[in-house]
Amino acid sequence: MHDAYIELISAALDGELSAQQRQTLERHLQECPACAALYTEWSQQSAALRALDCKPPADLKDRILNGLPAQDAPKRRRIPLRWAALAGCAVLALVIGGSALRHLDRPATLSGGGDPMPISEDVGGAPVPYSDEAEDDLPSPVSEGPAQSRVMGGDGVPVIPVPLQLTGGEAIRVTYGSVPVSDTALVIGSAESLAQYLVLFPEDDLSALSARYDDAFFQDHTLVAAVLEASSGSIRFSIPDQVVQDAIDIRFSAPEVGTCDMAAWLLTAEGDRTAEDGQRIALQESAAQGERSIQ
Amino acid sequence: MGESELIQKARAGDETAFASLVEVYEKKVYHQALRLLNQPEDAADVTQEVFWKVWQGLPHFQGSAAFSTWLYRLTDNACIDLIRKEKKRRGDVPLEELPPDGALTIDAAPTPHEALERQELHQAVEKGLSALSEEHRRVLVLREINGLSYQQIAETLDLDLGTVKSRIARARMALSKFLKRAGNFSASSPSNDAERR
Repeated sequence: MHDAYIELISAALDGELSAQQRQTLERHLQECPACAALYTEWSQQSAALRALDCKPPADLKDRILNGLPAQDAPKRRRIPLRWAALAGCAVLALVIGGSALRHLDRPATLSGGGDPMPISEDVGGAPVPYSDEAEDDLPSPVSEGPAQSRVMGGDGVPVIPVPLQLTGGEAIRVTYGSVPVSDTALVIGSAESLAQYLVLFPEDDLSALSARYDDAFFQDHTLVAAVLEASSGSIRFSIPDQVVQDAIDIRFSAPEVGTCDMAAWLLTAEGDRTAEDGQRIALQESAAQGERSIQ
Repeated sequence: MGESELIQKARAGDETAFASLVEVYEKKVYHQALRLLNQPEDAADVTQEVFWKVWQGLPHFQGSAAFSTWLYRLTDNACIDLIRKEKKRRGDVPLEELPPDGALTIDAAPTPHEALERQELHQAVEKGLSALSEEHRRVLVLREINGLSYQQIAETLDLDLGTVKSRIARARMALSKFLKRAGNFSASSPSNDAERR
């Protein structure tokens, strides 16, 4: 038996050889009884494997169809996040990727203080409701003066070729102002890449992440990471379980009364190996279920 | 109605179209799960879970990937997650020590003698497959059970083509050794070199 021909024999059985490779192999098999015997043996083995059968439970299809969960909402157009005058606090501007995704009904003043500030105390009036207006009704960011409107993260980021399953989303508060804010999520495909990424958080102890996501984890998984900043630590972000191809759905919730401390969050979720190390995926946002929509 | 049309309709929430997709792929997904998990109940649970995930995720499916590749990848992931959870729960018992479950259908054969031989061979192959390492079993199942090409396996498992090719060859070699020890297939005596490479 010749080791150089073992992979060729295997690939020949699978129809994965070029014409030239097949000719080379055929010539060799005529001259080498050991390799010819291996070819025969693996042919029989392969035929036996392909002949294996199974019988799914008779009620399996019904189980699947009768218990179908709610289908995800159809893919949304990525729209600017509109902070329509959150009551009280002069502004709770969500900053993603360094872009203020504000679309305010009135001029905004950012508060950089860290003290908790009841939202209802500042403006002295009744709480202003969140806006439900349609995107097309939005005034132009240019004509609106201080108001800004940005598409959240990554227009132009290519969709990933194979859908990526994300589970186990987690949010870790990290140090505002010294973290790698980006308008896209990063796919991390190895423990080494994770270590390199965590260097970008010099003021945060993220050793728990390094310990949890080791080489064994990355054999069959990726880790997707995104860093968001918000002008209130009261805003909560999460990455729900989802199948991703063009953009990751980031959920957030904002309480009626919040703090005006600037905050940064490292969001992670475990992915399968569909995406590649270093790949970027766009972000899109939606309000958490049960919260008032701020889109 | 073609598969792409069924997918489009299912993406839009058409449960009848999705039922047709389930009909086409149910057995393939179940069989893949069964060969990876060796437990019919677990395979059924994984099949259900996979189709639910597909249904939920279909609105995001862009169609740039083959639907089947996505489906088999979800199945592979669900099985591997379950295997690893079980390993943790049991205290990391090597997969090779798990008792294979034999609740499988064997093809009918024309004569009792042939039926017996085929049954013995199938049972041996079945046992051999379940005794392979997780790495070897995954590629061999995708190749021999699901019938994927090397390119599709590479996409499903996020491997490069060269790795798929060599891993399948090594998996076949490992299965050969198992079958020889079990008294099947005595045509040749492969060296260990392929395993070491």
